[in-house]
Amino acid sequence: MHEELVLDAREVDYGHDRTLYDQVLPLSPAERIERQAQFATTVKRIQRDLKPAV
Amino acid sequence: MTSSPPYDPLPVLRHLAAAGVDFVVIGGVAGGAHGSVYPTYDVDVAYARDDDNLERLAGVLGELDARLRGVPFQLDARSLRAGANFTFETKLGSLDILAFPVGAPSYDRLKNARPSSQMSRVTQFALPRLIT
Repeated sequence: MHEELVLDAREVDYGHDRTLYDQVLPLSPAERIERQAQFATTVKRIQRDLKPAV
Repeated sequence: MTSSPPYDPLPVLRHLAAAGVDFVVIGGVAGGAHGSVYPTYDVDVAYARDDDNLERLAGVLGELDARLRGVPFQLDARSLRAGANFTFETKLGSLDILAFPVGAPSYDRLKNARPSSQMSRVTQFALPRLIT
């Protein structure tokens, strides 16, 4: 065969944005929930604003 | 155009806790407390099924003007006893109560598994593995 075995290790990309976790994990659980709630409220507002006026 | 109220999971949890309801927060809010960055738009709780707790739970749901999403429902402890998992719309937002969350251990194990540090009585959080 004459193939050289090379062991390699690479980080697995699970599709998570680590920069978001870097922002969230230093917060307390209560602060994380507050942040999550603010985000959800913002998304709901955007969704509402995108609905065409009837 | 009507504006929906801001999403805030804590008021409904405070009502449950103030009434002495035996419950554990699961789902997206629990995930958020653990550091998940996935959004959620409702509150999911697992709850104890003993008669006293069902009475307390029915009382809180009545205070919150809870309505089952999509179907008429007689809100009392007997109805809660007859079912298990309910999805309510309340004056404080969506509230799902789950007696037997898929993938979860028994309620007693779930309750005892919650972390205690930094968690108040209002914000009890279950294992992250409950998040689906």
